[in-house]
Amino acid sequence: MTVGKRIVLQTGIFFIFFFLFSVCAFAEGGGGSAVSAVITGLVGALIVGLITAVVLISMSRTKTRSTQADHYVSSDVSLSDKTDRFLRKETRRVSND
Amino acid sequence: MAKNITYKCPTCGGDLAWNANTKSFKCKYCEDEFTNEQLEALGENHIDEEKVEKHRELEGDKSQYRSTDGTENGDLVAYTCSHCGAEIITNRTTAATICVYCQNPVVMSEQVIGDFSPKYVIPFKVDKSKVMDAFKRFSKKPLTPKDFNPDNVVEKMQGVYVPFWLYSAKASGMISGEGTTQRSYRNGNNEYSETSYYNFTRSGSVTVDQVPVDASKKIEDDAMDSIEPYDYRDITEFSPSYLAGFLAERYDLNADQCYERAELRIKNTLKEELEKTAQYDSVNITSFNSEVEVKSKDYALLPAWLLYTKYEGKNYLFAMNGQTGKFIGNLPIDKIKLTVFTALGAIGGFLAGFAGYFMFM
Repeated sequence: MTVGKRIVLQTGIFFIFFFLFSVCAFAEGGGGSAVSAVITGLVGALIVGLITAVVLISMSRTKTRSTQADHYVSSDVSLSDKTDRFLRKETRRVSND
Repeated sequence: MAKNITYKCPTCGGDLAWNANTKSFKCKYCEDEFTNEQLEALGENHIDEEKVEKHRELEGDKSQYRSTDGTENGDLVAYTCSHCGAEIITNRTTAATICVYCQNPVVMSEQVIGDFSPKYVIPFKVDKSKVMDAFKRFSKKPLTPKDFNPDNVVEKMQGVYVPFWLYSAKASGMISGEGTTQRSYRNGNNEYSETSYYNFTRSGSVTVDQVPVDASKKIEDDAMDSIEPYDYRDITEFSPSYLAGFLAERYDLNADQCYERAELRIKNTLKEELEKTAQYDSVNITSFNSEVEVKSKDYALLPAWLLYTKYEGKNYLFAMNGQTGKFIGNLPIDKIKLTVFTALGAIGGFLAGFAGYFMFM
């Protein structure tokens, strides 16, 4: 199993675990908005868990394939032709006070 | 008698090797130091092409042999150490090595003459002690397994001159696409957002100098890409003496075989440079065409420290740019640590989300 699949699997397991445990706990307590709070917490858990794993793994992995040669450009780009044609303008109201 | 090259100290006759700290050739015995120009003047760098030692094919089942210098046990051939006469078994593409018996540097002259003669070399600037420190620092990552001890493997780190093709070229092309500019303004009590749409084209060219592409099949391309860039202010005409004390490979991918990778990089750079000249708030490229005119393709040896090691049956390659000290590699990951840290992050995220709900709702 690749590391990426492993992270998704682990985070998924945590997600299910928290969901079951927390929803049960709050339903037992009769909390109405508590269920919404738990769901918000679960979303937070999923996002932060994934970010933590991705950041930590990226610290251990530094090999990448180069697709650019920008270090080796010896002179600025020389433009031989340049056109800019106006198409249209769209205006929308963002707010009114 | 045909032989490989070992560099002798003009003072005591001991063996010379390149010293990355002093940027000179240092005698292992009397510690006298010499510049490459001094060795040239003494005729030390001259290779008599009539007298170079050719490799010998190994007899019998080649899979029974192991290399004597730690190079990959693949297509092996044999040479004779000019210093002690021992047999050196090494990979067919090895251009320089160290005799395992007398520990003296040996340059396989047949691998650096004729078609295999490099035009340029960047001498090593980073010595082994710095590499060891860098690897120890590098390996201290949160997910590194406790039993992956850098002290156990760092000694295997080898200084290797890696073969590269350096492409100099002029790339020309055209991009076209759609760009937008945005502005906000107030009119009375109302605030408006205005987006203007444009079609644009840009035609132009960029010149690139010495884009490197590694020319060895057995060295991972992404590892060599990752230790870039090299600083060409240190590049110099090739002299075999620079190889003394290090391993060196000769190319086994020719300039045409490597060109595809260089071309991709050059074209992507042209596209990016043209895109930069379209000064809109957002740009969507709809077409790009280009052509690359290669001005030169030169064969060069560039320095790298390489460490091949195994952990739990999996191969790992760590590499350091032998000139700039840039270190790269994919460390093994401790799955238990990964699980614990991910769980801690998830718990933190859950608590923050849960508390945040009550604070803001």
